Amino acid sequence: MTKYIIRRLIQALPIFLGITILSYLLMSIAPGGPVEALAFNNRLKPREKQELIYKLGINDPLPVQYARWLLGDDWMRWDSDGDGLADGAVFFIDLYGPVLNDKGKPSVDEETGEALKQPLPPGDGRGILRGDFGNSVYFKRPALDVLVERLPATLELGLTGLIVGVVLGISIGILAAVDYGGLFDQLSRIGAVIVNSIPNFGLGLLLLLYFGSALKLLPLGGRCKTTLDPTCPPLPERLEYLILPTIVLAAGAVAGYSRIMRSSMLDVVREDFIRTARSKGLAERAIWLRHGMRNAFIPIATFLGPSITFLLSGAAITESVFSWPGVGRQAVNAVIQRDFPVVMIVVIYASIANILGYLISDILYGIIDPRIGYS
Amino acid sequence: MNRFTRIATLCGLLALAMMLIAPAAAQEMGGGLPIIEPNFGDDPTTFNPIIANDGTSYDVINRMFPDFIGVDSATIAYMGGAKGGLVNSWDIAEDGVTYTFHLRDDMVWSDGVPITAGDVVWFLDATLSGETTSPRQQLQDSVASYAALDDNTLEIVFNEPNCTLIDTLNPVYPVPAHIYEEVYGDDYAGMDENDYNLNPTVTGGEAFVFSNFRPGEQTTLLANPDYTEAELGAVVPQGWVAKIVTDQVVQMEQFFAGDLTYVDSVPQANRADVKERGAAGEFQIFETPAGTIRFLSLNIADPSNPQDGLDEEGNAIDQGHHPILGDVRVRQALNYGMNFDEVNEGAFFGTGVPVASHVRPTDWSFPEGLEPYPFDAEKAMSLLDEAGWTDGDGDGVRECNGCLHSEAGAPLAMTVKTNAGNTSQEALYTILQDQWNELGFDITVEFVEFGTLVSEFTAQTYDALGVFWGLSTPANPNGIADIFLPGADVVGSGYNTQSFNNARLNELIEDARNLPGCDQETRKEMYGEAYQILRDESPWIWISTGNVLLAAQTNVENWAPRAGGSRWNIDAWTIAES
Repeated sequence: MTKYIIRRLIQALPIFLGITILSYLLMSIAPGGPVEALAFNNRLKPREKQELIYKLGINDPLPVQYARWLLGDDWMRWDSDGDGLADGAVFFIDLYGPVLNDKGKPSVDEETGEALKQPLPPGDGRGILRGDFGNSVYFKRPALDVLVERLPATLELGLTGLIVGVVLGISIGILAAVDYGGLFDQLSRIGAVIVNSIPNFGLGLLLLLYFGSALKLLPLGGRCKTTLDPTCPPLPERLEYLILPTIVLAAGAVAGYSRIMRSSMLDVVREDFIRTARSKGLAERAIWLRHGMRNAFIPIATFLGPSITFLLSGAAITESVFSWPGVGRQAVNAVIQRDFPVVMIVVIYASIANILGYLISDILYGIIDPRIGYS
Repeated sequence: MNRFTRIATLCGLLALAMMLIAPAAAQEMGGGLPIIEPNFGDDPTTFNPIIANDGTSYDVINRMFPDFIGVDSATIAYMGGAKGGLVNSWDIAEDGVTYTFHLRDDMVWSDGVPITAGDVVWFLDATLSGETTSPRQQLQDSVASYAALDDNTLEIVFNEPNCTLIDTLNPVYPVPAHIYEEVYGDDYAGMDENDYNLNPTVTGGEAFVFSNFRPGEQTTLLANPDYTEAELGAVVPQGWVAKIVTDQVVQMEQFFAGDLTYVDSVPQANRADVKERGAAGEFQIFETPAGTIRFLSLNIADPSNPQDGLDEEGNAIDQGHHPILGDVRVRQALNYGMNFDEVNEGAFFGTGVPVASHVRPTDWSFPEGLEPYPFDAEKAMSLLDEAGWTDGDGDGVRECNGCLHSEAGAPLAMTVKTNAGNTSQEALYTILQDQWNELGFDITVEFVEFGTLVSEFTAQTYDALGVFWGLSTPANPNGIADIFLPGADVVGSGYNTQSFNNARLNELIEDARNLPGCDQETRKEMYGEAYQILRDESPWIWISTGNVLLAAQTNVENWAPRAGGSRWNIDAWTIAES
């Protein structure tokens, strides 16, 4: 299996690269940009705005911008004599930049009419392949830090939502299949339709208004009680904050898994080997749980991978409604702020979660169904 | 009274005294409940005043760093000795450019080190180095030199005398030089990336000091035990928390539930309800003019060929004419054709306040006699007729029939752009579209992503474009120079994107800025005339300033907001257990 996993991971590399190219392209052609988002500020003078554009390298051709992000720019423009200014550059990068006047326009030599130039500072980015994800344009600090400090909250909510969604969904699916055509089966189907019809933000607000505002049973968002303390208390002491966002996040999973599990179970119990088990006089409980359930799990494994991706890469809407300090909410803010480095690191994180999610799905096939081998 | 009774009585009295003293002692040490206010936005980006550039960061910085020159909360004007300011007074030398600032000597940083002129010098050194990403580079344009004459005296020499030099110093703060020197050294360029920006160990001079920052959740400050300007002798609230609440509905529900101490801007949708409940005594409320105005910029120049306002020698460059808006009568017709009452009800829930200029009623330069255009559809239509725009074919849309800058037969059609996602802006321009189309315009409204909108605004390629403009506090009336003078007409980055150029206005603004003696009344008259020109020429349609509604829980004692700010006495807010 180790060889299989390694091979799958190697196969994932081109996919990963493709995702980064596509994401970078989409982001770059999207209207607006970080300078526009930052520049509508009457404190920012024309020259400062233009300087910002040069500093961020936004006026470079797109392939150069992508190469800088991927491979860094410390090799593109360098300083050999240590005077803080670049004295060498690769052919596709400018060694000199314009001298800007107060209007942010390139200054011109009055005598010769030629544009004035000044040496640019050397590149100092190492690129994502060397672990340098760049600085957040908005926060002015490493984009990686912005992601990492929000990961615990996302993992906390995502894992809880995943566990609740899978356990409840599978249980309801099995019970609905056992009660095929009965009241529970009908109710679970209606429930799934209703839950799937309500958008997450609507469900979240409804729950907050009812349980938080009207009944005052649960807190109105946040990850823990607002105090002067530097950290939230341990999870067991603040479970009440997790209840509503978990319900919202798990609702869709419960609805989806219950329907898949139900239909899968019904398919399985019509198989010959179940009939054989019955003819051998095996108890119904053993038939459903030992033989039926295990075989019905195979389609579930198919959906588990994408679920892991979705939940672990941050549920933007749920996190926003509940003021949950996770990756998803930050990703939305970064898109609004056109904070490209943060957007890109979230894309990378989500891509990795996606690749791992599908790998876990494939590994689960083998565990659930011994007939499936890894070759 | 035997000995035992005497001792027991004494002990009883002592205990009683202790009980009486204890709450007072607790209060003196910052024992009151903390203030929790919502932050409807993202995390602060830094707690370093040198590089801060966003409102969320300033909200925190202003709680824990003193201003260089304080603003009097009653008059909303810079004042020596104003609460929260380091400067006690200043002298201006005869040359008009040398300012000597006398600083307070009783402010200390949280580590006990006095706040001195050297701390301001460090701020200026870093900012004027040009190496930081500080957005305060305008200081470079006006400050010639500076020096600490002693610990409590700072001399600043400006490049030229004018009446706005104190305004120029608005973004200056003292920073703990003894710490910054150690942490940042002279690596100003690397300042942005220093972890210290979000983990300051030494702050002070204001009511609170830094405690901790939880990304995505909250920023927490604690009462400053060394704060010398406390209204009640000591800072009462134990701390101050800026808590991120990302949904406005949830924010208000948290306030209604008592989770938030106060809200400094009640959303429009909740205002009527909060006002009603405030009147019934459920909350404390206060209404004050907002710090922003809504405007519609009308491009006067040819949008197909945007040009800078001035060439390198300072000569005016021909701007061409916008085919429709190049005629002042059309711009005035749009003003007369705006039914503000309808707009106010439909887009602002009745909370808007019509404006005729750039100035809030609370600002010293507010022109009392200047009225917004009244709604007069007939006048609007007669202006359009006069301008050569008539509806010859009876289809409801006027065509050029002797107009100034379009070809004969061209329809009176133009596009109005505003930022997508802002519901009140979308409602506003949808209503205006109907109102103006009634006059014979063919208006198309486009809702555009904000970054793109800003690009089009500065590129000067639009017909009409509506956004907001933030007003400074205290007001600097000379700020209109950045919007209406030809020097600010720079394609791609200047804010005179409508390419307005009026000789008399240019003269008035320059004269008001450089008036010898800087007499405020005379300057007010000059700005008044400037605002009148702008109203008549209408390069913008000034739409609304609106009011901000602040609300606090009833258990917050000493909550006494003023037009100049709600937090001027935050150190005295006493929150009773509810």
